Amino acid sequence: MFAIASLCFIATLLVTTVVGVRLLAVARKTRQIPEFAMGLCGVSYSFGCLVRMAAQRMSDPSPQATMALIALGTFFLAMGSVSTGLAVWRIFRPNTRWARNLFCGLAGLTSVLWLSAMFSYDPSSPGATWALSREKSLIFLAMGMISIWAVFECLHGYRTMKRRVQIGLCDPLAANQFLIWGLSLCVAVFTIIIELYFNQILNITFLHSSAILLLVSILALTSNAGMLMAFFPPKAYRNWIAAHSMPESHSEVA
Amino acid sequence: MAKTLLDLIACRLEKETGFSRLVARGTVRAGLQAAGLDPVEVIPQHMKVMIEKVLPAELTSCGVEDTASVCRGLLNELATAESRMGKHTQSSPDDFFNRLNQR
Repeated sequence: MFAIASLCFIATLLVTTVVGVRLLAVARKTRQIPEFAMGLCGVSYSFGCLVRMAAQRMSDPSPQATMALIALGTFFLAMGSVSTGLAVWRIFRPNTRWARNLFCGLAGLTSVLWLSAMFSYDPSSPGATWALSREKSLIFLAMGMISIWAVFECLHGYRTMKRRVQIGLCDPLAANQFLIWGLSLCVAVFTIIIELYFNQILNITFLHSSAILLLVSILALTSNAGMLMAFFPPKAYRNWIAAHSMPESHSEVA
Repeated sequence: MAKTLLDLIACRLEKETGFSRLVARGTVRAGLQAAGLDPVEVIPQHMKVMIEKVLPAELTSCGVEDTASVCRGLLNELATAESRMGKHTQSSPDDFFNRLNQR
């Protein structure tokens, strides 16, 4: 089971990296913040997962080295999450003050929690495990809040864009991309909830249990495959959307 | 003085139909909502499509008979406002995916 879980985990990292790098390549050409932020999110997320995995799989780890690696990994995961928040703000509500404040608040909260976790951890105390600390879980909670905001905006965006499609103001493909992105983020939020549950309630690190690693990896792979589909839809999917979306007729002014 | 496009179009609708200010604003807002547009951030190009394709049905449901003439009046008002305001470059959420899909 561990082999399958590991394969899923590696596939997740590969898909996330591909999405991130491709988005960064697009951002290089368009010079727009949303593409850059989502690209940074993909690359940070895969790097963060890789570092955390390495930290928990070291054969003879010193507490300091483990702590440094997990802190670094969590930093990149948090950076990925903050980047998602930045993209959501810039895509959906670039001129809205509350959205800017919400983004700044969540980004600030994530940073403060990460710093607090860094300074409150004492590796010399008996049984100290940074991976299971409350601070780390709070960071994940803040990351989850950003993802929940993103889910709300994507699904709300889909509803709005569906109406615009009917009067020819939006490409049907773009409207569906909001839906797929939103659903992928839903799976990502569910993955975070599962990790928090096992970490905080059951005190099990998912990297130490093959079954949980498999579950988390499958969920993460599903979420990231959805992101790939949303951001870079294959031709067959584009054709399918084009064939199945006919704008409704409206009475027009002569 | 009218501040937003919504105010401007609602004012003209009030004059064209004899609606009260509240009803005129409500009708335009209902049209914008049905078209999936934000009343605060709507741009002239999108407002034009809403007036052409969605508003006639809203007006008919409010008992207006000559909807085509009313909408033509609103489009004229919009054209005047647009020339006064200049070209809008406000972004829309789907711009993100449109940029990605062009690659």
